[in-house]
Amino acid sequence: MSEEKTYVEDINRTIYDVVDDDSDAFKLEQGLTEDIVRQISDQKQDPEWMRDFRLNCLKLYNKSQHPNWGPSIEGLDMNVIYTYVRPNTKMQHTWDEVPEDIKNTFERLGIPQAERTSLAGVGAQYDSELVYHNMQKEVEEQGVVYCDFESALKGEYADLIHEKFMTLLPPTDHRYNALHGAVWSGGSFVYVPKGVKVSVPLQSYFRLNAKGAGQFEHTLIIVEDDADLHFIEGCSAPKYNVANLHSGCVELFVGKNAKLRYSTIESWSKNMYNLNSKRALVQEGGRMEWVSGSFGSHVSYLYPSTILKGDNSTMEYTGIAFAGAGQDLDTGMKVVHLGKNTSSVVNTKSISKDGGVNTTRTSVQVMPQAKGAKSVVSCESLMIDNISKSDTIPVMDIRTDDADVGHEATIGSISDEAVFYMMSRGMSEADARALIVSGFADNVSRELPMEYAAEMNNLIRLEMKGTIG
Amino acid sequence: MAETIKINSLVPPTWNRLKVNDVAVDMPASLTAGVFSEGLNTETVNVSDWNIETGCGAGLSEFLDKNGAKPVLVKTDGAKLLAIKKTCESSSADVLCFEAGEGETINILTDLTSGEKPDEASVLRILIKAGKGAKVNLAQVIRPGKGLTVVNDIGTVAEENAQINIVQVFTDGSDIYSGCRTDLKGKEAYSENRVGLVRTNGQTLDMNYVMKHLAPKTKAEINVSGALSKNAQKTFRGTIDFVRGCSESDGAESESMLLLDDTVVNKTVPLILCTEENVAGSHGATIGKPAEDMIFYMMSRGISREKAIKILERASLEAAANHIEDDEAREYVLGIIAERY
Repeated sequence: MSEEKTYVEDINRTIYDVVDDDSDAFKLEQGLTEDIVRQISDQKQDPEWMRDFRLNCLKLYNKSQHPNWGPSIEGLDMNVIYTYVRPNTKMQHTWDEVPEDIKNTFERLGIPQAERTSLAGVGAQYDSELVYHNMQKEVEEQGVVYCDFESALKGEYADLIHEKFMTLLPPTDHRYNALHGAVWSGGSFVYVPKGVKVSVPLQSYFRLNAKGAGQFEHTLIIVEDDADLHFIEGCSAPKYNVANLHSGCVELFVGKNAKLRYSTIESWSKNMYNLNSKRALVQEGGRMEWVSGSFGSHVSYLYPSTILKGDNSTMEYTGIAFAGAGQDLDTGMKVVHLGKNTSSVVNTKSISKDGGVNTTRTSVQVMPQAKGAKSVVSCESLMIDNISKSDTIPVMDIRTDDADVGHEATIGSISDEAVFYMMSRGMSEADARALIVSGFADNVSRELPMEYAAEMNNLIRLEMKGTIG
Repeated sequence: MAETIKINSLVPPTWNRLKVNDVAVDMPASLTAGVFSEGLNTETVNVSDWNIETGCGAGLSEFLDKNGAKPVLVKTDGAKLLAIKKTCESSSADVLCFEAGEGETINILTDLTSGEKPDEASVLRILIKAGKGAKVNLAQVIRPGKGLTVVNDIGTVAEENAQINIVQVFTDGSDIYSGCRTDLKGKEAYSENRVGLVRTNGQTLDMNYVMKHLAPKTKAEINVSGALSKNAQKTFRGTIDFVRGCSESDGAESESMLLLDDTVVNKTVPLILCTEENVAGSHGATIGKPAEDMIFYMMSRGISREKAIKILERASLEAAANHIEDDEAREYVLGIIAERY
């Protein structure tokens, strides 16, 4: 009897791989020098403190080393990366004003359509600069600020940004925070006033089009006490035969009894080095929710971290990573419990196929003052074939007796027992196996708005035929 | 202290700031070799032929070589139980090797004690080869006096259908650094590690345990239970490594730690590495203080809180010791626990 093997399809990247002509874009020369950093600062018309900050970050970068853990990033040569590429357009507030080719790219990605149907505001960045930013009038009238980072740096919230910028992700933390501090460009600033609940999500989409370029957007979100926000971040790039780099920073401040959900669907191309940093600081009674889908990039280092500073603050992380051929995705999360009665719930899943490498790296720290802290971490990995790799590297550092910490990790293939059970209920073996693989990712897609769950399912596209194995 | 060695390296490493990638141990200037092998029937052996890696790793190998600790093959001479009981008088370093031939069963017990020994160290490395269908049961009690630094390192290889069972009981006393690696080299090889530990008064226990599945249908389990109090620190690195080709293998590690006050530091690093599709690996950990209703129940029966805590510490050690297969070794170890707690 011939056995038909299950085929788990690679992610269909057709819509992401369309390249726009960038011959009319403004580019600084390749590499990273003091002169380039000064030119970026000139281009951005930075305030003086920001220019000094950038130059200090460059010094830190030059003194720092690559991490001595994690996937190899030897293929990333900063001497050939374009750190600043400005498309030949200004930021617009209607899609009609956006140049045709760029608008078409975002149309293919479904951004204007999503804005019309399910978003309260959208920011669209193309290479180093935002090309579109808009927010519904009703949300604006609630006092919500959602704008490009450069405008915010010079506007009403300039002092607030000066106070907060890279305080959660200091450039001294690691080499790529320092790099970001030196060359950042673009990104969004969101301010949700006290008590305001934004019922419909805001979204920023980051598109990197230029070959050999880096994208270094900065996102700063402040959700004041008793406020509520769902922010969605999407990112993609076409595939080139040279390295591209993404080194964004996301800093999130969650006030007392406030709630912030930060959802990310990342589908960078497979030549991308995704060295991204995200951190949230949560005050008393606040809640931080992360939903993270990592599907693209050649190499990823991505670990959203949360500091539960206030008593009774909580965090939930739900993430999935899909690594196929040529991908080494090192993802996970970190949480530090500082306040009393804080809690964290972490649920990660990974799927490895066609030689793809997944590493799920987590860290839970419960400090002595965090009495009554609770943490539950669950890591599940699915190996689709035996040429792939899946590692789980968790660390728990517990420093109080008054904590309840649980961790469980499982790794394996599709259970024959489960397949047999479903077959005994009348399903074909192929359907049973397909259902199991689809169900594996289900808890993540359930956490996303319907349109984004559909995008995620499109990204995974686990089309099954026959049996796995 | 004359030299600092780095042992118990985590492979692959993780974030440096967590300080779990390895541990630095201060060692004395000179150590005497041959203390543990005294009175045993031994012969010299070339361990490079054995090709066995250990939990403490290369850092300790270099140190042992430098201090002239020559490996010796210990002959069990058909004894039902080979008991090696030592009281550490001064710094020592030994490498004992055991070999169980096809179908053979070996039971080994080691018991290390000492008086107060500041600035002294006891280093013991045990290498075990378990041939086809062989079974090796190793029980260890380490109950050092104040100040003694203990490095206890194990490396084993299990051939087809071989079984290696290791039970370790670490009582309070002084700092202990413990490594253990098992290579499940033959089909259907099995290994089990059970550790019971009590740490108090600022004592450290640093562990690196690795189970490497190299052949199909191998099975391994690491189980750690213990109690920490009064500035004690414990780091447990446990790695289950499924190497390509070890299909239908099963690896599990579990940990149950009682934290008895908020001065302790408990670090747990349970890795699962996998390059094989058809395997099952799992890890579970429960870390926290004892349930108040349990303490209350004991107190309502006239047991003081201090005594109740002692009972829980004893239970953590007995949870491991009860798995010692050899009756004589088990009774011996349970007797030590009962006497001490």
